Amino acid sequence: MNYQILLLQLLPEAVLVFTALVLLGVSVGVESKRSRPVTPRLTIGIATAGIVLAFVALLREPAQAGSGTPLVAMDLLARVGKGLALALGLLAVWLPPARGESRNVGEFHALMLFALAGLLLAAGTNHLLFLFVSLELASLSLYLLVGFPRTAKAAEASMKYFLFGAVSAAFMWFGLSLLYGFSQSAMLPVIGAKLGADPGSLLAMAGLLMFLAGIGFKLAAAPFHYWAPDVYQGGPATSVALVSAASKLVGIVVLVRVLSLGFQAAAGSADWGNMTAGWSLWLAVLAAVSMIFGNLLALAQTSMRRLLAYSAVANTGYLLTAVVANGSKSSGAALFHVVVYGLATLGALAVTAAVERERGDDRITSFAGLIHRSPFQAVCLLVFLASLAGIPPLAGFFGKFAIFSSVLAESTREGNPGLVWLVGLGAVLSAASLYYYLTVIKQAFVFQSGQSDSGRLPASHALCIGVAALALVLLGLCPTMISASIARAVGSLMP
Amino acid sequence: MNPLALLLTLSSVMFALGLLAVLTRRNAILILVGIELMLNAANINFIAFWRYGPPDLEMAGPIFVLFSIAIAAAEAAVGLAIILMVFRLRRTTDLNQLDSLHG
Repeated sequence: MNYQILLLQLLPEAVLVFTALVLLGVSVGVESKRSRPVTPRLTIGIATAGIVLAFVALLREPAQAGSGTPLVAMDLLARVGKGLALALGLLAVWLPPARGESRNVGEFHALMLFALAGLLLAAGTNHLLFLFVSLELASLSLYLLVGFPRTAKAAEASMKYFLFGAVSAAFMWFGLSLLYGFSQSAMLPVIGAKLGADPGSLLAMAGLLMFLAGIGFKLAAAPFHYWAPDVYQGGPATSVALVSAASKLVGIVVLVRVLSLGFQAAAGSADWGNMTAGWSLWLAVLAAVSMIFGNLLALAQTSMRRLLAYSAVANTGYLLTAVVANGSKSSGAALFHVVVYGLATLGALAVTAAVERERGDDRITSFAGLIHRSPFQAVCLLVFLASLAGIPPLAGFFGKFAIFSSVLAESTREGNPGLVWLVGLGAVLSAASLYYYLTVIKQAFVFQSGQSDSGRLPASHALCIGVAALALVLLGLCPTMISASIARAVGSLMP
Repeated sequence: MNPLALLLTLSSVMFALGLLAVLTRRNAILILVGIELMLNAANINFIAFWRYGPPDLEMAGPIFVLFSIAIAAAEAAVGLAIILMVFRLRRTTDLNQLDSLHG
C-alpha cells in the first residue's frame, strides 16, 4: 500500500482530526497560562479554519482509481456527500454555546470535529466494517456533545440517546455479522454480486433487516425515533444542529450507497397491489409510519424543540419515500431535500436558541412578538419554517416537489399504481404540517409581547442564521446550484 | 447438528437474552450489560462464520472482532461516563424516574 496516496485519500478527515487536537492543546495551554478559560470566539475561529481547510483538501482531484486502500471510496457521491456534510457542520459550529454552557468550550468544539470526521468517513466507504467504525466514532462523539452542559436535562437526554444508540449499534453489528457470513466479505460490491447469484437468501435478508434498523435509528425514522424529542429538547442547540443536519445527511448518503451497491437484488417492491418482500417494502412501511407519527405528534407540541424533533421524524418519512422508489432521480431528490431540510431545521434551531437566550425557554408562546423584538430573527424564522412547510419559492418546496414527482415518475410505469399510495399520504400529511409551522409564524408575527432586554447576539450566531436563510432563498431561486452535482454523483452509482 | 449451526444458535440465544435485558431492565447499568451481550453475540457469529465457512484468506472475521472489542470498550467508557453524570445530578439511574423531558 502506498501511504502517500492513503494520506491524500483521507486528507479532509486528517485535517479535521488535527484541528481537533490543536483545539484541545490550545484550550489546555491558554487555561494553564492565563488561568482563565478560552473564549468561544477563539475556538469557533479555529474550528472554522479547520473545516474550511478540510473543504479545500476535499476539492483536490482524487487519486487514481485502484491506488490506495479500497476501504476509502473516492467516487463522486462520497465527495459531494462530504462537501455538503462539511457545510452543514460549519453552520452548526457557528452556533455558539448558550450562556453558562461555555465551560470547556475547546473540548466541545474538538468533539464536534471528531463527530464530523466520523460522518465524513462514513459517507465515503464501501466497506461495512469501516462504515460501522466511522458511524461509531460519530455517534460516541454525539452522545457526549448532547450531555456536554452537565445539566440534569442534558444528562438525561444524553443517556437516552446513548442507550437507544448503543442498542441500534448492536443490531447493526449483528446484521453485519450475518452479511459477513453470507458473503465472506464486507465489501458492498462483493455482497451485491453474491446476492445477485442467490437472491432471497434468508441470511442476507435477516442481516439487511437488522442493518436497516440501525440506520433507521440514525435517521430518527418511526418507530426508532423515541430518542429524538428528548435529545432535541435536552441537548445544547449546537449539538442538536449537528445531529439533525449533518448526521441525517450522512445517513441518507450511506443508505443510498449501501442499497444501490450491495442490495439491488433484494429490493422487492412496495408497489400497490404488487408488494414483494425486500428493503423497498420495509422502508415504505417505515416511511409511512414516520410521516404519520411525525406530523400528527408535531401538531400537539408546545415546545419548539420538540416540534422540530417531530418535524425531523416526518421529514425522514419523505426522504425514505424517495429511497423506496430505488431510482437515480428519486435518490438525487432525497439528497437534495436532506440538504434543504438540514439548512432549514438548523436555522430554526438557531433562532430558537436566540429566543431562549432572551426568554429562557423554548415554548412556542415565547416566540410572541419576535418581529418587534428582532425583525432579522423573525424574517429568517419565516424563511426556515416556510421552507420546512414547502411553500414556494423557497428551497423546501423544490425538495418536496422533486421527491414526490420523481417517485411518481419512476414507480408508475405502464399504468401500474406504483407508489401513488405513499406519495398521496406524504402530500396530504405535508399539507397538514403547514398548520403547526404556521402557528409558530403567527406567534412571531401577529401576537404582541412585553418588553425584554434583547442583548445582542454573538456575531457567529447571527451569521449562522443569516447564511442558512440566504442559502435557502438562493437554492429556491436556483436549485441547480447543488442539484446538478448531486444528480451526477448519484448517477455515477446507479444507472 | 454441525458446529456452525450450533454456534449460530448460541449467538442468537445470546442476542435475544441481551435484548430481553434491554427491554425489561430499568436500571441503566443493567441495560448496558444487555447491550454488551448483544455485541458479543455478533462477535461469536464473526468467528463462527470465519472458522466453519468457506476459506477466507483475508482473516476478516477475527480482525472484525478485534475492532468490535475496541469499539465495545469505547462505548462502555462513554456510556458509564454518561450514566455516572446522570447519577451525580439526579441520584438515580432508574429510567422510570428519569422523565423530566416532555412536551
